[in-house]
Amino acid sequence: MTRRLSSLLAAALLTCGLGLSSPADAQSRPMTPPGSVSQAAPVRAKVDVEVRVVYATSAHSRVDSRLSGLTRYLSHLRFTGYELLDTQKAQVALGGKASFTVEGGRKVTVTLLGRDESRARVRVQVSGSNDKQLLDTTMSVNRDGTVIVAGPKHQDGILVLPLTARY
Amino acid sequence: MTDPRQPGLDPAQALELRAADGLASGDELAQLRSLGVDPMAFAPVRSLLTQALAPSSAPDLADAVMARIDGAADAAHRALVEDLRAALDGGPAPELADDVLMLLDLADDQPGHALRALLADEDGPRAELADGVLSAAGLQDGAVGPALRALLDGGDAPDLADDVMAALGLAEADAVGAHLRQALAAPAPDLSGGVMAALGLAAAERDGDDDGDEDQDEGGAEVIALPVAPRPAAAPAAVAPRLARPAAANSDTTWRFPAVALAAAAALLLFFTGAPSSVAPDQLAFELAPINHVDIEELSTGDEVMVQVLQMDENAPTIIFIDELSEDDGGIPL
Repeated sequence: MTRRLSSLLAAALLTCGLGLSSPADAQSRPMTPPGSVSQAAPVRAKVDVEVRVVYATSAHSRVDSRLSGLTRYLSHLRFTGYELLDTQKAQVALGGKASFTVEGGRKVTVTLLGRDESRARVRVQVSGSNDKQLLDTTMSVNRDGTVIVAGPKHQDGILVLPLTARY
Repeated sequence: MTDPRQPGLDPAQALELRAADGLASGDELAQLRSLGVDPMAFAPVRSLLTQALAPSSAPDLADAVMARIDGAADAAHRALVEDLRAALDGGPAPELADDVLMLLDLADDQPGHALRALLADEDGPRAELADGVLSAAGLQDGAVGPALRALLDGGDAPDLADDVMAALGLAEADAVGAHLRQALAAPAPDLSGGVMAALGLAAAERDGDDDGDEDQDEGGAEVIALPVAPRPAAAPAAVAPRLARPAAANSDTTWRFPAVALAAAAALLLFFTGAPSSVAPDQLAFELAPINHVDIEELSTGDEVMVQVLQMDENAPTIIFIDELSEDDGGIPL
């Protein structure tokens, strides 16, 4: 009976611990240089995959203040206004995948193929509203690093989708 | 002539006084009788005087003593409640703390009996918990599986539905409710010994259903070694035995619902750990890591799609630009 109780509680606590990191907790983690993180922080069992949905347009020149850290890189896309439409995140275990539905019925699917202390290997698939494949790529990104998928049309502009793998 | 032991009294009067006080010897009593005095004639008077004087000769301490006892009992009770609260809050079933403490607040000299009756009630909290878990989700047994399937199919990751159901080992969606019900009805870990230990209630104070269960009792007490603080040594006699008595025995009454509830909750939470969650955009500012290195191993595109990979500088995030070539506008110029 002792073992049974211990097993049950351990399973419950383990599951809760792995699966219940709140958005606030995740967002409150300090952003540190990937180099230092990779050598000091332990590797978590799951990777937090974050997808931000940014609407880039030339209809105005307003830039969402929450995107201030990103605009210097977005300026190369020749749009004048950037608006953060949505932020989605999911925890993905090794071999698992998470699908994010973004504006226009498009779908972004991220599969975690592997990860170590410094890099995560992921497969990113982007499909259109009619399930037509737009992009299928496998890449490795440094820990807490970001890759930006841009280009799907939205209204009179495009969608910009920064993907970040945090762990 | 006066008696030297009673100045001012003659010998006869002194004998009468000593006899009245019950101090006269046998010879003195015989001497009194020889003088024609009945020495026992003073007994009723002495008794009356004793009764009359005794209450008034000492302060009435009854209320103070009882108040002291009540105060000590209350203090011990509070300490007991605090200890139990701490033990239960830190234990595997903190949600039961209020129920247990409610029992302690009952005007029952044997709270252990009431608690044991609660724990022994097969149709009590356990059954209510099982029903509560399902009803809290607005589900009945047969509706759990379809509801889970509908939830997964209608969520942001419908393509994960099969994986989730397969990961749960559920060939049939309808089996979910049965599995959950089975989990809730599983044999329970025995926590009652720990609760009784926290209450300071020993086997002798319990029902007689512990006979022959010594091995199990010892094991049960070991299972739930709840952290109970030392009891006050000055507890009154009416309370101290209950506090000091070790929980050496345990009944076959079980508490399976706390652990089962945790396991069920964990299982339910497991369903959703891979599902994406949306966060209000106004809550989050984008934080970009100082270094963003991407190595693209493979890249393929669909028909009528052109992809460009843009790298602005060494640490800038790589931009994979998808240009959907359409007949109407020919894509978005870069």
